[in-house]
Amino acid sequence: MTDPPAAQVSGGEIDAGSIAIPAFDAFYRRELPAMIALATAITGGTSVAEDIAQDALVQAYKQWDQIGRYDKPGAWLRRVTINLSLSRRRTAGAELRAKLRLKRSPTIEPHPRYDDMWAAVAKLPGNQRAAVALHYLEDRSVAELAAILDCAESTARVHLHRGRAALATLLEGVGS
Amino acid sequence: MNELSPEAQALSPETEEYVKKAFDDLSRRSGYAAAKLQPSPRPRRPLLPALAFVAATAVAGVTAWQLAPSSDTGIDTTSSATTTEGTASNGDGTASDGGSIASRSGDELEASDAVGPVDTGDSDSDELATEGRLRVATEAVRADANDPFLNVRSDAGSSADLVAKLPPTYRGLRATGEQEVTADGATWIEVEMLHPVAYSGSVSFDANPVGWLNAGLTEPLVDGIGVGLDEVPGCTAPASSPSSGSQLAGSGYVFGLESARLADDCVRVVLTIGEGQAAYAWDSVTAGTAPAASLPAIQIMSSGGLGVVVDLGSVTSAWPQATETGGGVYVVRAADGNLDLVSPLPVRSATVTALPEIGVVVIDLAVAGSAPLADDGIVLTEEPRASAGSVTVLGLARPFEALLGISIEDASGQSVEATYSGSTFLGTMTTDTYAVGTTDWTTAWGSFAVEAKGLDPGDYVMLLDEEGGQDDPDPVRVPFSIAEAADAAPLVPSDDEQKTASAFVRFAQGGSTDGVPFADEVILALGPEQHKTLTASNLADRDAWVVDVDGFAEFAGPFDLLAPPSDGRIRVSRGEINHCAGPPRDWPSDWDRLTQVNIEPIGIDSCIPWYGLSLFLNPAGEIEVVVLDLFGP
Repeated sequence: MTDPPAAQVSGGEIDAGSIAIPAFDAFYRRELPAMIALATAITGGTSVAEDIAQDALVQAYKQWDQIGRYDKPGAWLRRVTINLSLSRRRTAGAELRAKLRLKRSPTIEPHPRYDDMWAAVAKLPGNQRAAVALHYLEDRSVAELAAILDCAESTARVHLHRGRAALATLLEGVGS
Repeated sequence: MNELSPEAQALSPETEEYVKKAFDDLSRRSGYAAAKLQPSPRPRRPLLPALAFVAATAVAGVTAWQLAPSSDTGIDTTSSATTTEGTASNGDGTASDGGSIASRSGDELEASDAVGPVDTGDSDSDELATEGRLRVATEAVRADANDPFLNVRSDAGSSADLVAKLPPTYRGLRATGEQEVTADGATWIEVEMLHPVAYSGSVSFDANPVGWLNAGLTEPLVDGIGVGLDEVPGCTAPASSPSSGSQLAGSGYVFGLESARLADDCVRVVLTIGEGQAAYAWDSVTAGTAPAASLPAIQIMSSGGLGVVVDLGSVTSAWPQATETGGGVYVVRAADGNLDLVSPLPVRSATVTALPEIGVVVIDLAVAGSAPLADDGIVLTEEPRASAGSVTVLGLARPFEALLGISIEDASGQSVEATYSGSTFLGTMTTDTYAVGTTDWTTAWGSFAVEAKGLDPGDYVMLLDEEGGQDDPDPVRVPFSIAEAADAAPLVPSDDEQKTASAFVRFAQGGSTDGVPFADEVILALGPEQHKTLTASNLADRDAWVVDVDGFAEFAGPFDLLAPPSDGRIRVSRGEINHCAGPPRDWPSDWDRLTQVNIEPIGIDSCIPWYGLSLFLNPAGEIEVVVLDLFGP
């Protein structure tokens, strides 16, 4: 996406009444690579990961007046990215549309030596995939996982637990 | 407690390192590693403990569906509905145990753990029930008269938040494998709650409610399933006649479904029904509720070629997690929107036992044989019907967005065109890829039927794609062959025609005429010979359905037109059918304006037991003629 119009963004904080809302552009620059990585991990490394990350940030931008006031806008953004990633079952048409929209820009392709890893991740149920991705990409604690996934901590623990156990089975012997 | 124990790990060191490197590689390639603003990564957390993970194979009593071939001697499917007030082992019969949970006030939920660490005298944790399927230790929990419930908490230890209170009869526990010994010496285990329970949090759509409880207050389930053989004897001889009484009032939603093989020829299904309706959002459901105070009426029927269909009566919704099962039984959304419990396996007998005090229905199936094809997301309910130039495939599925992708390859792997029908929104079209819609995909399985015509003789494979298009990397492959000269195969009935046939079968099996769309006058015939006409005044009189003649088709009379579909597996079709080993009958020209819908037995090995019960429907869908045909020269 293009940067938001300059008129709406200052170099620092946007004063809205007595509550200062952090600048969206800083949020965008900081979070875009993280969301691309997260979407890639969940979708299995396809070109629509960038599309998903952009869509999530567009949603955040549209609601920045509200989202920007959250204690953890990053958690909201991650939840949106995860939902978009899990619901984005790509048909050939959707993949094509994404590629055309990105004008065939280079996609993020993990190194082939990790093909087994991403094939295994792709077999995990959605919430397990998200929990594993957040745990390894961002070192998230169970409490943070629960906040992002909007579930009880015990539930988040189960998702992470099951996801890693499933990877243990699927990747048995790999990496040795 | 650290959520991750340092002393054990789920992944081997090599695999753990491989996984980390894979994510590091992704992080670098996405630019995320460079964009991280945190000065240094937090220390890697300790690794997860090893566990006996909750998989189907870890549950005692659940085995793969490897059955002996059907003996094809003709099978009996009868039904009975019995109600028990409680179980033999605990004598419990109080329905209010479960219902009172939902009405407990917040103050009561703040009560401290009523049952603290228990000195069982067997304090060695190895002797505590800590794995697999568990139930509440009924007498131990009841011993606390002030608060006879087992508290479930958000973490190990009595000081953690209370998330649920389990009645002493609760059987729906499954250990996740995580456990901890608290400072007072008690062993706490993490469990999933599989039966309805008032839970103080929300639950993700792909998970059960989870919490921690004192392992000393649990017992293992005898047969590894919610209701064991010690409580309800399984697969006993069915009642001598189907029960049409014992209609329980009430409604509810399917909270859980589990099935297990209790013997080589006996499958038990434990269905839990929760109160009210579960709200369903895309990724969460509201907190679980108590068991349904009363259970809906349930009927067992066989229709449409399926092994057993259990009509769940007034249960009209299902929690998504509740309908995930690999045990060979499926909660299916019928065309009329209600739910059926379906087992495609050949079934000899079926019994239903309702335990309303715990919101549980136990369905025992005496089985033989195996389902034609079963995959995680697609199940065939019968073998593909291939005839001259065409093939018909029927089954159950829950594909993404209720759209099942269809295509056909020839023996060389090349995609071929066919004229497809079966989709209500695509209609009939000639194409190399097609899609049929199912009746559900989120809260229950849906049924599908697809026909492909215009195929040359040869060997083919039909690919069923549960991703909706051609995105499934591992579609289900259904091989079939088109013979050079084959008999014409029956056509697939429409949903309304299927419903009419099902309603007639229910009537024949002892039900009422309610819901059976009879015309004002109904002709009864044996083969092409018309014998009598029934009207509204005597349609419900079962004696009126007997045609009293000396003989027909080499069989001696009289002939009861309601008798044949009372036994065995049946198939419903439309159009002409073969007269078993002979060509189709020539019907009176008066019937040309009517649509022929047929009920035939399947799984028979000769024409002697064959029958064709044909319903002739007028354009309004009303039954005007009922024909019984038998094999004979």
